[in-house]
Amino acid sequence: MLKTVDYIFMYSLFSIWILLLFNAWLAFAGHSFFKEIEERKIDIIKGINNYPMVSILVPAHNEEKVIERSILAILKMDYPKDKRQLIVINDNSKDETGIILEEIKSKYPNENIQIITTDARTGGKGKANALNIGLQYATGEYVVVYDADNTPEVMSLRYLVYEIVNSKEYGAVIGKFRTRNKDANILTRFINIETLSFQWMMQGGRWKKFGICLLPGTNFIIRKDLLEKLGGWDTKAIAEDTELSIRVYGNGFKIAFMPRAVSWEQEPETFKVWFKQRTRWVKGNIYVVNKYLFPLPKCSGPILIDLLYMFLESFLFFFAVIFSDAVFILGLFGIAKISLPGNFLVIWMLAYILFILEISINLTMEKGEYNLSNFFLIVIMYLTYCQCWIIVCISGIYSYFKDAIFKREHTWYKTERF
Amino acid sequence: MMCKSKICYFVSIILVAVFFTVSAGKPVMAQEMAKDGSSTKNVLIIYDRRNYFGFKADEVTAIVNLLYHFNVNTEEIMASSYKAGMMQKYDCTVYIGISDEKLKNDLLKDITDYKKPFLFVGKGIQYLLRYNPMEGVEFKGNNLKPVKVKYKDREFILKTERFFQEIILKNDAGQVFSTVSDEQSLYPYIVRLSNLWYVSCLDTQGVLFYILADVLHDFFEEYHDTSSPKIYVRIEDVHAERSIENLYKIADYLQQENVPYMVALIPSFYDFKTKNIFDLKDNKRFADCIKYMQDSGGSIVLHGYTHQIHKDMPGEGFEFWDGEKDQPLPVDMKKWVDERINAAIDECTEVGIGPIAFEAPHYAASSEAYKNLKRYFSTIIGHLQTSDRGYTTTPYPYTLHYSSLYNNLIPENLGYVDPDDLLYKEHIFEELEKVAIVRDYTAGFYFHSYLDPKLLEPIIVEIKKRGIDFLDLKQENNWVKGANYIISSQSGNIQIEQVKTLKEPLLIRIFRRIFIVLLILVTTICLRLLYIFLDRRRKAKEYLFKE
Repeated sequence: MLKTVDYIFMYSLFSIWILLLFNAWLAFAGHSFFKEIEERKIDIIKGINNYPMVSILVPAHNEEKVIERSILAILKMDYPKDKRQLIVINDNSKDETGIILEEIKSKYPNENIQIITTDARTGGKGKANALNIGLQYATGEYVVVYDADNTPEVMSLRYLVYEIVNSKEYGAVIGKFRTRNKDANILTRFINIETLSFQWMMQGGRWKKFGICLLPGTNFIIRKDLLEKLGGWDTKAIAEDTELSIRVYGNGFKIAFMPRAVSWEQEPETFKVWFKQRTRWVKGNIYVVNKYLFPLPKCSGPILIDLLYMFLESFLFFFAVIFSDAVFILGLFGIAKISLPGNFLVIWMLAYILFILEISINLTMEKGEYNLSNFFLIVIMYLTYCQCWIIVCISGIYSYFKDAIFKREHTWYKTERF
Repeated sequence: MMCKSKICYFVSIILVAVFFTVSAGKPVMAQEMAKDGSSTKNVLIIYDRRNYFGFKADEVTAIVNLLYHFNVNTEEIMASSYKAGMMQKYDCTVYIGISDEKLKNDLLKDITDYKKPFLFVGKGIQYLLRYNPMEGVEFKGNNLKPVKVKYKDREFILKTERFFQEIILKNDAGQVFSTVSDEQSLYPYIVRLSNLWYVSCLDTQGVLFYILADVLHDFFEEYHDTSSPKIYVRIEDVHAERSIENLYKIADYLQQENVPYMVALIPSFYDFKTKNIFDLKDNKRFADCIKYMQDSGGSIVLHGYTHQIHKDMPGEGFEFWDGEKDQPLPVDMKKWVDERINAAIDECTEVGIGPIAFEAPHYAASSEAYKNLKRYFSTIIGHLQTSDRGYTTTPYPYTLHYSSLYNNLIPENLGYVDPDDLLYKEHIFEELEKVAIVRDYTAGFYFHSYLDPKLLEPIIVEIKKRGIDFLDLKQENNWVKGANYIISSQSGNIQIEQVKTLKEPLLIRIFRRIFIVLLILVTTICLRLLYIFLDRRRKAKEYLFKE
């Protein structure tokens, strides 16, 4: 006789394994995509015949700690000066961001830098709003977005431009981001491993198999006419990048992944900041899922599958993990007992090994990332960092539904810089 | 020709149908199939009521089962429903009088005319003597309260609350088998007056019951092998919560003494807090210990599945009787027994344990439960619960065979080792003295599995001193027929035969297959990933050297 706990366990086991197998498949796909990129010959100098005008948008809200380094890195990028427009949206900053920006502007008179300053009345309503303000001033054929903590590599912009001008089906092209402060502490090391894996599996793998990528919020290029047609960014969306991605696909364009366009960004160095940032992402994803899947799907094709995946990941998988952990703990105390046949220790060990191998392979694709210390981090990551995501998901879901029930506006939390 | 054979076919179908229709409306003879048809005696039981006023014990059922030591089939009828001439077709007749009500003339006439053995038990004899006066036999009253009973030169103090019918015999009017005395005079307890056998008191507990049991051999003229009565010890309430070390100690002691024994095993434990069943598979140490006992002289007796219904600890609750409301369990008993017994048998056999008999928890089971258990077990151990009105059990002095409730019953009648009773040994042997008046008795007592085996020692020594053989259950032919396994014992060997593949629920079967596919798939993926990983490492090194 099967008991409730058996059905719960069965649901958990299959939900988790469907997702794990899907991720394993994406890991293979990501690796395959990596090999393609490795072998692909790209001449970013001769490959671009007519350099298009590019407007680079940098939203900055209280970014005094990082803005100078970011703007200087952007200015150092190898791209014709007359073909680029740097628009920094100093969005209701209360710190020295404005002053730093003015100093840079005066120091580089030959650069096409535009500083748009907003106050509490005109701005300060989140990143999407700031980007929409910047978009009004953009004169370029393409719009590039960098977060204020990003330091793109010199050739990064060329790769993005090269990829988008050579394919009319691409509405946007995203680059790869790396963790600038990965050696700060164990949290940033975990984030470094997580972001690399995410990009190779979820961006590279999905791109290879489904032709799908999601805009990451920074280090991407997008056609301005498309952006205008879409009405810019959704200011209500917390994950405005994901939301925009869906609309790009809805207009028949693709978003491509160009991992050679690298930008280095700063990741949270404290658990509190990390937690807030990730909670915002979870809420953002729920918003997108709710907007485009319910009550009836408002998109089709691969992007619908992607949204369903997001839904499964955010709800079914999440609850499956919670139930699975609960059953495991209750089992340890002899409170719950599974009557189902099978050696679950073996299957759990396999899941663990699968996880370690998937992540390790992703690290071998990045120069300098595959080393013994990272390997040990992967081994402990499953039981520590990954489990923290459960709390993040609970917090995100709770916060989203609390806002929905009390009809509160979603608040946009800006990630604190270090 | 063709037409004729068709008519025959049709007629035979009609006849078979009529046969089944008719038999369905009649009381069915218990276990007709199991009896040797040629020598089986058909016995009619006539009774005025089934229980003493204010008592729940079903005296009629207790007496009827006492007859199943012999090759009999029984049919019961209430005296008020008796119709003239009814008893003539039976080989023997038994009348059980409990209420002292007047017997109908039809019945009295038939008893008078009856030439075959007639057993009259208890009250109402005065009506018969009035209807058919017998020379030298006089009824004096019905409130005799004797203090001793004598049978075969042995005397026992009487503890019964029951009154005796005071009968006076003159001039050797009958053959007296047993007498009672009130310290002044002797009165017959069991007397034979030609074909009428009279028992002056109906008591289904203790020595009076056992004397009647022994006399029944003469009544039925059926004599068994009396050369080797048997005794057994049963280790009680053996379950996973018990001290495994102590179980090993008990097993080692009995093996060292070369004493075969029974192990009343409760294979599973239901945790009411978590609603989980913990079984033998979950406790390898315990399962190994039971196998050790099985291999060292123990015969495993299934003592329920969990020995629980309500929120009881295993070994404390009832399982086939509602102990809280003192009534039969209000469940579909067939389903209840099927589920629990099959689960228990599967649990045991899957770890190599072969139970060969059954003992109901607290000896308690409703008649419906017994009838369902009978399909599974050749052998039941213990007392027999003889009433559905309330929890009352009857210890028998000898083995019983093929009633409607069981195939074979091995009685337990000596009590148990009570560590709080300083005279526990004496009490057990006092009971043995009573049981031993039965010529082919089987005796048994139990020993709790948590007790120090040293407490067992004096009893074992005494039994050996008296030269009584120990009953080795697995030497006998026993069987347990589960839906998935058949277990049988013969000459000390236990055979476990899987009769069909365990019928798992469809969902579990699907789950099992998916699980295996998943294991293979994931292992393959892991190997492939490992290959990619090693390849990447090799390339990374090559790249490093190139740089």
